[in-house]
Amino acid sequence: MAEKTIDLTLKVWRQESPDVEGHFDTFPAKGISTDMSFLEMLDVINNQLEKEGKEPIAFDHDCREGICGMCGSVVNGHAHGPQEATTLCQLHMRKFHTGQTIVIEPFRADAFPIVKDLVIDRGAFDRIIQAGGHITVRTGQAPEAHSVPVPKKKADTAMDSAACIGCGACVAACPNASASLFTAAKISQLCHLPQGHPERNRRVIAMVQQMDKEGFGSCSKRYECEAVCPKEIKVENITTMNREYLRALASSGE
Amino acid sequence: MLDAKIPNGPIAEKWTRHKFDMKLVNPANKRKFNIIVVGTGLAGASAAASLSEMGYHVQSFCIQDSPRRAHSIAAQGGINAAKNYTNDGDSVYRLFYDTVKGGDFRAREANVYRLAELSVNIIDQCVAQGVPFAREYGGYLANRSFGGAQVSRTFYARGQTGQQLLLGAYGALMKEVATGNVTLFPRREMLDLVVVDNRAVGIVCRNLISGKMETHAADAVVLATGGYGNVYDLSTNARNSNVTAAWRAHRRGAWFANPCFTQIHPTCIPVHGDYQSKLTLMSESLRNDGRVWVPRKKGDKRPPNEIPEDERNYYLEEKYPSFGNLVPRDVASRNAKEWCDKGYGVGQTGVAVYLDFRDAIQRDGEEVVRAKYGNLFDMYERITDENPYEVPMMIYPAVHYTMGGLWVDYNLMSNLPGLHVLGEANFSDHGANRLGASALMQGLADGYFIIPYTIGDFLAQAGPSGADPDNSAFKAAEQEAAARITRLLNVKGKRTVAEFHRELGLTMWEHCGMARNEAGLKEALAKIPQLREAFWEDVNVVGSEGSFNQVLERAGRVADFLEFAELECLDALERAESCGGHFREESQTEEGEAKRDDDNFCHGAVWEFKGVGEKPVLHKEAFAFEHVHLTQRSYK
Amino acid sequence: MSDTASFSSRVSTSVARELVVAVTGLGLIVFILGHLVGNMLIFAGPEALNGYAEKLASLGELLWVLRLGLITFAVLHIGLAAHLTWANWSKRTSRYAVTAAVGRKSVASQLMIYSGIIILCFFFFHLWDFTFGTKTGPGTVVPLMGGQEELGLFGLVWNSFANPLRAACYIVAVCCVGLHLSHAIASVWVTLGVLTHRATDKADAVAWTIGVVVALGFASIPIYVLVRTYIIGQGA
Ligand SMILES: Cc1cc2nc3c(=O)[nH]c(=O)nc-3n(C[C@H](O)[C@H](O)[C@H](O)COP(=O)(O)OP(=O)(O)OC[C@H]3O[C@@H](n4cnc5c(N)ncnc54)[C@H](O)[C@@H]3O)c2cc1C
Ligand code: HEM
Ligand code: FES
Repeated sequence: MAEKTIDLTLKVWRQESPDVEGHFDTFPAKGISTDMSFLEMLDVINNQLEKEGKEPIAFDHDCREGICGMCGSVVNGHAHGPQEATTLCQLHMRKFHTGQTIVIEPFRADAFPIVKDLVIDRGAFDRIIQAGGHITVRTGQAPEAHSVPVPKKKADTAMDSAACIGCGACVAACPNASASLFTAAKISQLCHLPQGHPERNRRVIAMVQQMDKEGFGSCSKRYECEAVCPKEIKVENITTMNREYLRALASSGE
Repeated sequence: MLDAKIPNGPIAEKWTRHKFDMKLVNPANKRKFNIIVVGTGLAGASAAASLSEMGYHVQSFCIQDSPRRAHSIAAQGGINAAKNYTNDGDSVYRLFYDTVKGGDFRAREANVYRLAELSVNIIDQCVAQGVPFAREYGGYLANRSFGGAQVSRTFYARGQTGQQLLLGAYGALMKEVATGNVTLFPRREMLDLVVVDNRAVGIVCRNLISGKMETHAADAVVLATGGYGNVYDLSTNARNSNVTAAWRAHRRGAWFANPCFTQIHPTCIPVHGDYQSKLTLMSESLRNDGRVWVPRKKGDKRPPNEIPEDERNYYLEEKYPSFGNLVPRDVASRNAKEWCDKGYGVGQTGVAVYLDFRDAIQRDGEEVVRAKYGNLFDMYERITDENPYEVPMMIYPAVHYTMGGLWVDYNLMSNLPGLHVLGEANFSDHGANRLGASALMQGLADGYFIIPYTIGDFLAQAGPSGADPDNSAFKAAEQEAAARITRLLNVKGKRTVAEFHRELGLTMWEHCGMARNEAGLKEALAKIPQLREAFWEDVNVVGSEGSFNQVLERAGRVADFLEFAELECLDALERAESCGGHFREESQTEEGEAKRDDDNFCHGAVWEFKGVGEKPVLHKEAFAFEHVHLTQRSYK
Repeated sequence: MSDTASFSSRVSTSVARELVVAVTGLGLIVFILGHLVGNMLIFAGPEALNGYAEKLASLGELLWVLRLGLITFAVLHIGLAAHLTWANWSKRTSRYAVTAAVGRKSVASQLMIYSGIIILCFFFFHLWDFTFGTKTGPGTVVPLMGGQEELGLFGLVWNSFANPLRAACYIVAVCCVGLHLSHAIASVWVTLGVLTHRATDKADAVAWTIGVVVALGFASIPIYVLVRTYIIGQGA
């Protein structure tokens, strides 16, 4: 932890509420320790703003360890900033250098309305999961866990997909604001497990329909989603989703 | 006054008998009942989903923008269950025994037994939901030993067990939202509990986006709002974790038990600056291969790799030859503090010890170590910019979990009829110290398998509350909450909310942290009211009430912490014994280990609120140990 | 979950549309590759190419069935692809102030609609030029070493490409086809759900290669004609 400080200029998107125009505010950020996380840097700026009686920059965060999926902004054109496989809260200031201008924008997509400044509404993701991103089992219905063995490889593949934190960076980075990677990750997790099979056809159709309804775009295979995903969810999930979709179309009814 | 309502009969049959004895609500009538569930962590989400499946109408509240982001998501290590899949002698009884003993005999035996009993159902339920637990090549579930347990009973999903379990419960909840039976209220903060005729009948909350106050009425209220670790400002908890919901309920008459029982986790990344916002937990499993040490020479500033073997003090291995680096959390934490206090701490701040993998790497090779801990090492490097394959990690203990919480009886109902408390928010089954991988178990047992039965019993007996949000009690509570917000905004002082939080945290850490003593606690008890006063005179809450305002949100939480902290210190002062995570320096063995005082403190300390700054009234729930006999822990 | 999702709603989702674009695109690829192989006969001389053209013509009604199929595919492909692109453009109405190059997105992937539109324009031009052009008469007469000869389709093609401007247009157009394919051939497998784990990188490389081969293959014809006409000299 070789501590060092840097001076930066921040250009931050400010927007009072969903339906008013936003604009950029510029702040000097001086003497920023390179050991700070990106959000701690924002905390420092906000503390200064509060001291001056000004409204601090609104940004979402909670766990600050890269798992809750609450944080996220577009930093100099990169969703979650320039470091690969890293959420904004885990990005550290040592990735920046003195004199740099950092432009911070919210995740932009019409399906994610801006609440305030960098805070967005990702309720659409919940509704996609409501449409079918689960297994219909009631509490108490479950059989003994070992009654259905699951091949390790399948379980591991399911886990790879299940690692999605639902942050929305995939949507933010996609030129079509598509939620394909998010939707596909859940479909893929559940179709790799025997427990997910009974509902697989219904699930994929319902989730895709909901995804369209929420106003997300479709996948043009630009793979920007994969590149920015902090959990390294792969486009292969989208392949799986499409295969599931074909299979659902092919099977009549259920 | 305090009736724990423990059912009669042999311990192994209590729950089964109780389930039979409880009253049922008939299916058609369930539809007429409305239940508020605050919190969507493991406890809240599992409860809300299960209650809705049974036919109740559920209103589910959380602070985050989605229920899936509750703090439970961050749990890494795993979840215990007495499945005995590894054939190593585990059983419901052994899990029960370990939990009571691990909790240093400060929990209710009947509850702990039920927890152990239900643990097996949890795994079944989660597997059926599609939780991708780790598996072996045969396709069966893998287990590991965790937190020094002598059997392998921990189920895990990579280092993301909490995430996967929560997503399972969240999926179940979303399924119920789709049926229309659950209404979701995300980005809502509960600011008060509404009590009418000594029955909890609703809540007041603030819509965090619009800033509007809302009242919601119900036939029963379930709080699953998590722990209060953030009273220390810096902890491993998510930033939005708070005591507000529990504290507001306490102020309305729900009693708070054992607030001084907090758990400090030994392996966290040390503090490195005053801008620090959060302490990151490094999994406990690291202690299986890492060796903890400090230099033998005080203030030795040489880089660690230049310090020769004979000048390194592997203090845990020396002091506890049989357990070595794997001593329980509280013991490991306290020893780290001791050496740092004596001036042997390392790093720029001198408040850290080394956790060294050099020998493991030499013994097993870097690849083996990478396979086991690669993710953790990467995370460490991302945060600290140091490569733990080359230089030892630096770690220091941090506040992690709170065993104390609102008092509940065997039915998980508080002393206030209609108010049920689940998960970390209740004073739980973990006594004075929680074993690793047992919090997830408890949250899910509470939500999936206990509350669905016990709330029915309550509703069948109490009937509908008939509460109406236009009722005067609702209006009064709403006005009070609104007035408090106006008051916060009108102070217009000079210091930021964060500054007060930091100051409170430092005081608590100093005097009510890893080691506590009478003088320190008294000092804290003198200081906290002053700080609270200063807060209400000099805090600067910018922005307005009618909009999304994170400063205001935090201000309200800090204001409640400032009241709660006093209770925690008072409880710590009152409990003049050491037990589990509560170490009173006055009460230790000759070897410096925690010494319980069963004659005077074999009880839960249950506090009744009497007003801010007023001395609360202490009630005691005596604990009887009929199955696990009181013994002193020893790890030598 | 609505399990009553009707057939029509199942086939009108974005994913279903993508699937149709993919299947029809794949059909078009087969056509393009076949067409390319046929065109290569030009290097075997006038008889070979003209013979091939006659054989096609002799298919009679079958040829029209094939043509109708091709047209249907093209209409579906173009219609749905354009619709998807149009719909996707409206999903982010507020633009980013800063955009950065991220990931492995290719230029080709960003230009699909534009390469497609050029292909479409070219398609009409091409039909008018070669398919419906008269394959007898003055336009098909090629100056030979010794004199002049009427060479049917071969002559028509030759004379067209002897015009540098037309040749250049043709080259640009076939480069667009190559560009379109260099993304399409990788992406289509993702859409159709058949790419196995981790194969996308390889698919990218294969697609790129095929794209280049197709572009070069088609472009080789006008280049050959130009070279023969202006550099090595004098005709076929
Ligand atoms: C880093 C870390 C790792 C851990 N690892 C493990 C592990 O490996 N194994 C294990 O067993 N345990 C572990 N624990 C402990 C465990 O994660 C928690 O004890 C448990 O998840 C708590 O669950 P809960 O449902 O009670 O509450 P939480 O998950 O904390 O949820 C609280 C909910 O209440 C809501 N809420 C809070 N206040 C309000 C309010 N005022 N108004 C409205 N809503 C409110 C929140 O929005 C949230 O939805 C770990 C803890 C941490 C910090
Ligand atoms: C030579 C003829 C053509 C062939 C062989 C062809 C082939 C393909 C293929 C295989 C795809 C990939 C589909 C997928 O990713 O699943 C594709 C995509 C596309 N094609 Fe074509 N195409 C041709 C002509 C056209 C024309 C004339 C247009 C339109 C104007 C067009 C527009 C598009 C667009 C916009 C896409 C991308 C769709 C998306 O993913 O959003 N194509 N094409
Ligand atoms: S704050 Fe939780 S992922 Fe960043």
